[in-house]
Amino acid sequence: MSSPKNDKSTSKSTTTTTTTPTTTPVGNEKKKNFVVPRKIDINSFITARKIEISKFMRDFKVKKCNSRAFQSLPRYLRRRTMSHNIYRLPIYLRKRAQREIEKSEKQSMAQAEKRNVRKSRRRPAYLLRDYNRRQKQFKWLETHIWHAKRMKMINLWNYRVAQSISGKGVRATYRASSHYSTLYDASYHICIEITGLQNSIIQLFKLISPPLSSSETTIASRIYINGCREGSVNIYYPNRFPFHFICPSRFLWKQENSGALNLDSHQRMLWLWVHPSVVDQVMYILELESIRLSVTIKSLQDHLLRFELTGSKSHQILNNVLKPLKSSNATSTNNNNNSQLTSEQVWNVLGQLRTSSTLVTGTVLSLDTYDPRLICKVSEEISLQVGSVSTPPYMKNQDNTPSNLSMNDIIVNWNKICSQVAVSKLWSENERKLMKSNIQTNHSCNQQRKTTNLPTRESCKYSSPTVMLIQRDGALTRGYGSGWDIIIPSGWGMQFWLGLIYSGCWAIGLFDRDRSLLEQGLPSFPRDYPDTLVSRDYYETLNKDLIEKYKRTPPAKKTNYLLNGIYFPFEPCWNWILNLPLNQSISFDDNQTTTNTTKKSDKNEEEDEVEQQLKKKKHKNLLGDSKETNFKSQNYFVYRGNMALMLVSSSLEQNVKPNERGLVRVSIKMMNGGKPLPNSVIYQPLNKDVEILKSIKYQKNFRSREIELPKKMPTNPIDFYNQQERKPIGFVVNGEQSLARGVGSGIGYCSAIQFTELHKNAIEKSYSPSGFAYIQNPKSKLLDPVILTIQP
Amino acid sequence: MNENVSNQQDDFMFDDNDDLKVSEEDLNNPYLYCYKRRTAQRAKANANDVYIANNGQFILYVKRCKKLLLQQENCKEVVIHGLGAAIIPAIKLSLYLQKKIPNLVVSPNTGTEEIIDQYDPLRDDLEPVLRIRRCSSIHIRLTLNQ
Repeated sequence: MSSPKNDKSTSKSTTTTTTTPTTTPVGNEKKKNFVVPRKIDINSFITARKIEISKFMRDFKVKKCNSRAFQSLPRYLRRRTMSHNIYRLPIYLRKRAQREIEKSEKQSMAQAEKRNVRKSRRRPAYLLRDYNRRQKQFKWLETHIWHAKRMKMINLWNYRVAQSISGKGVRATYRASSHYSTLYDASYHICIEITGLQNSIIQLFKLISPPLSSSETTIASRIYINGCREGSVNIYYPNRFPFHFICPSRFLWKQENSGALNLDSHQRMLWLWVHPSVVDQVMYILELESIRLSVTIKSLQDHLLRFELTGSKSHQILNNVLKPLKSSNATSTNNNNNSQLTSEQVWNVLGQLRTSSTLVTGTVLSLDTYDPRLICKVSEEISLQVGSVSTPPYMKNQDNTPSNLSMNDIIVNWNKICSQVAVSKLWSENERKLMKSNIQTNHSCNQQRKTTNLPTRESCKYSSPTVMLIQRDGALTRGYGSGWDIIIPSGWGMQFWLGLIYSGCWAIGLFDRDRSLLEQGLPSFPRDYPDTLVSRDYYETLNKDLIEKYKRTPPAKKTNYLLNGIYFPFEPCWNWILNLPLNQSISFDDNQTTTNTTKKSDKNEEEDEVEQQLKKKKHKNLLGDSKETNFKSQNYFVYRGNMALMLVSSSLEQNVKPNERGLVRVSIKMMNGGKPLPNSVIYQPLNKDVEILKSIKYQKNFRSREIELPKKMPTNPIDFYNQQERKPIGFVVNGEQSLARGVGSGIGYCSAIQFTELHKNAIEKSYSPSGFAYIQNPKSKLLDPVILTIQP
Repeated sequence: MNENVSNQQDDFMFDDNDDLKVSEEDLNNPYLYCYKRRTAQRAKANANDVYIANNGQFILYVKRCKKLLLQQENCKEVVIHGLGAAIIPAIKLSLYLQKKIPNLVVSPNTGTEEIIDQYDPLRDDLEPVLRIRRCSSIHIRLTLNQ
């Protein structure tokens, strides 16, 4: 590489350079005393040289910029086609240009070899492989391809979820959800199957659900235990209530055949529907406790699908798609002995139902149905294209046998005469497999639609699905937001989806669904649950683009939030509201360790072993190195259920004091115009505001006012909090102009202490409405009057 | 089969009595039961059906009815429906329209609707209670005589 002569010269110079730095700081005197070392450590000496030389060579060889040879010429000397015709270049550049052209040709050749022609790329086997590759990280739902053509998609919670429908406005979607029917694919929710003795399952849920005093009904309630209705339960980390809320979830007991009467000693099953963002946590907690209680836990991920239909027409649409299987043998005789109605009979009677909100909350009905592709009506154009008919002949002469029973009688006596309608094949794994295995092909379906008769249950060659219908209640009066949830075996997703769409459902995405929940005043998980850690992840993924865009924008073109007194324009900061240190990650940690130590002394050592095993086995990825990092909780909590209601009722008594780390959920209604926007700050009213409120006659005359800000805004939000006379008490998490109510309304969370203060003040100073407060939208300095109402 | 069903219906009557074991006092106790009114059954609404809500704005109903009767050609009649407390506003509305629009024939019709009351227990050991309550209703047919 380099001549020995050179080496020597460098060696001399470097010895001096390497030693000098150590001496320089001490001063000139030491420099005089410096003695040249007698020996040189050859190894270190050579490696140092080697690195230097290789760096030098690299700089030499590697091109720093991508400019081509002709680009080194000034513009006035460049000519057309210089990029591929080297003879246009001056001679001294030709060699370099030749090399560049050869290199780029090689690259393009390599690329061309890799890429298949489109025809072969579109072959089913290739496509399937490609699809499987593309959903390695983010899974696709069964209806993914249908959605991807029509919706904006987003990667969330390890799934690729439809975000919002393109080409349909908010108002149109609202209209569909109230007057027609909207359809949402919620199949990413994961069902967990819990099997065990009834008592042990109840015991299990006692650990993870809030204590009796704070919840209305538990899993053991008589409403739910016979499997007639689906209920909902809030899941908390064991022994950490009210902190460490995990998620809201829905559960359903398996309805047993009337033969098995002794429910207590019988093995029972329960389905728990959990959001995918928390499913690992829930599974971990359940498995931890299950061994002690001898309960088996199984995830039914990808075994069951769940579609949500909302709107007044949803029942009618389901009627068009679901037709109970006919059986050739008369099984009705069997029924009459039982004096129980079958689900087919009930479904036929309910055919005239206008809206599902007449039914009782969470009513469950299981149906063995025909393939929806044989039943549903298809538009003329589509049916012509596939060589089928738009309405099959057997659907034209339908005989809906009118029953003597009135619909209301059935609904009222549901528990007595319909106690077998939720018994379903979906609970058995074998049956699910059978349903999935032998699905009729599209072509054969299209052919069969032309025939005059439907096959009966026995003569049917192909598998037919069993679906479970679950009534869902809306939160508004007159039934807005109510509809049906349908649970379908996997493999049948697209068949049902298309049937429902052909019958007139409007498909919606995640954001549209959030909007519909907002109309009802319901929070959507995880976005509107500030006391869960997953909500923060959700915000992080969604806000990334927003924040980047904000940073990119020049200052003159964007809102200076600081001048408005807004410190958290993108994500609410609950620690600030509660006047806690801002970056306090977990104060609950100390608390938790103490409980843990006490627990450990009480419990057996066996359990610890079990815990260890679990750590090793399944949840290695989830737990990581230290368990605590992933099982942290926020250092505040939300009052839910009765606990929240008790805060307000007992606000005048001194004994019940809200916790300083407590939040309460409030609904926000604008007093006169305007709309609350996400991340708006809720401010308390001052005495002067209350006086104005008392003096005016109509609420709509109440004016907005400008916020009082200090002349120089402090950069630290805590300083701002302390300086302000008017304290911020909460944040709006979601809000908009409500189309159902006609006023701006939203969902927010307030500090529990401050909210009870508000109520106390209202009672003491006797003004109404008692929830009078202000909000400040992040982009303005105005404080708009609002009415806050506590939500359990 | 029909016979059997009718027998069953007899049973319901008996069962209804069974339900009465839960006293009214308990049902109305907010610590024991939570009350929800289910949506009343009715036929599908056509464009010319006006269902009156008790909290709806009177003048908006007037506007809607006038628009239907006077501006739309193919609409010959409007039916105003009132249930329970909404009977009075329904009658008021029809009388007001009669005064304002000449040649308007008003033909009222009364009926009884069934409303389902849902009482969900707040404690685990209580049974859920469902009841049918009967409620009077009015259907006023407004026709333009030309």
